Amino acid sequence: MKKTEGKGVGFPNYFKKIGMILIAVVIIVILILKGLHYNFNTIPKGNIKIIAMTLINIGLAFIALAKDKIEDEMYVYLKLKSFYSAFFFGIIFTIIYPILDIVTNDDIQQIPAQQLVTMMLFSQITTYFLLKRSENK
Amino acid sequence: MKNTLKVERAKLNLTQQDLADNIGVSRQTINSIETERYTPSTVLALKISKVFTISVNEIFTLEEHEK
Repeated sequence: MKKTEGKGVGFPNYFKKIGMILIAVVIIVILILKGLHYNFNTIPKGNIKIIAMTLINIGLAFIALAKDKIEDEMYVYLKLKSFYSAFFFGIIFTIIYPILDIVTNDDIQQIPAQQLVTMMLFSQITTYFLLKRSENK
Repeated sequence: MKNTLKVERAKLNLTQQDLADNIGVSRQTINSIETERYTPSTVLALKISKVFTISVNEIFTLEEHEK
C-alpha cells in the first residue's frame, strides 16, 4: 500500500520514537537519582519536578502529534475522535478536581497546568491506541 | 450507510489488501467500510466506484433512518 505519511498535519513518524526515548530517559534518570539518594536540595526540588514534567510533556506531545507510518482518512478520523475525547476529559477533570477538594475538606486548589496537559496528552494517546486496536479487529 | 463492497470485491476476485493498495488506503480502512463501522469520504467513495466501474449509488445506499 502507498504510504500516505506527509499528507496529514503533524510531526514526522520518527518523532514517536524520540518522544518515547525522551520519556524513558527522564524516568530512568529520576529512578537512578532516587536510587543514589541524590541530594535534591542542591537544586530546589520543585525545579527538578517541573523540568521532569516538562520533558515528559514534550515526549507525550511528540507521540501524540506524530503521524503514523500509514495514515489514511480513517486514521485521521480516529485521531480527531481521540483529540475530542482528550479535550472532553480535560474539561471533566477541571470540573471534578475542585469538587473533590470540597468533598475531602481540603482547600480548593488550582489545577497545575502541566498536570492537566499531561493527563490530556496521555488520554489522547491511550484513546487513539484503543480506537486503532478496535478497528484492526 | 449500507454498502455492497464485499460483493463487488468478490465479483472481481479482489482481496481487501488488493483494493486497499489500488486506492491508497490501509486494509483496515477497507475492512471498516465493509463492516459499516466507517463511512468513507466522497473522494474515497469515488475512488472505490472507479475500481468497480459502477456508480457510487450502486455501492453505497442510505439506510431508511438516514433518508
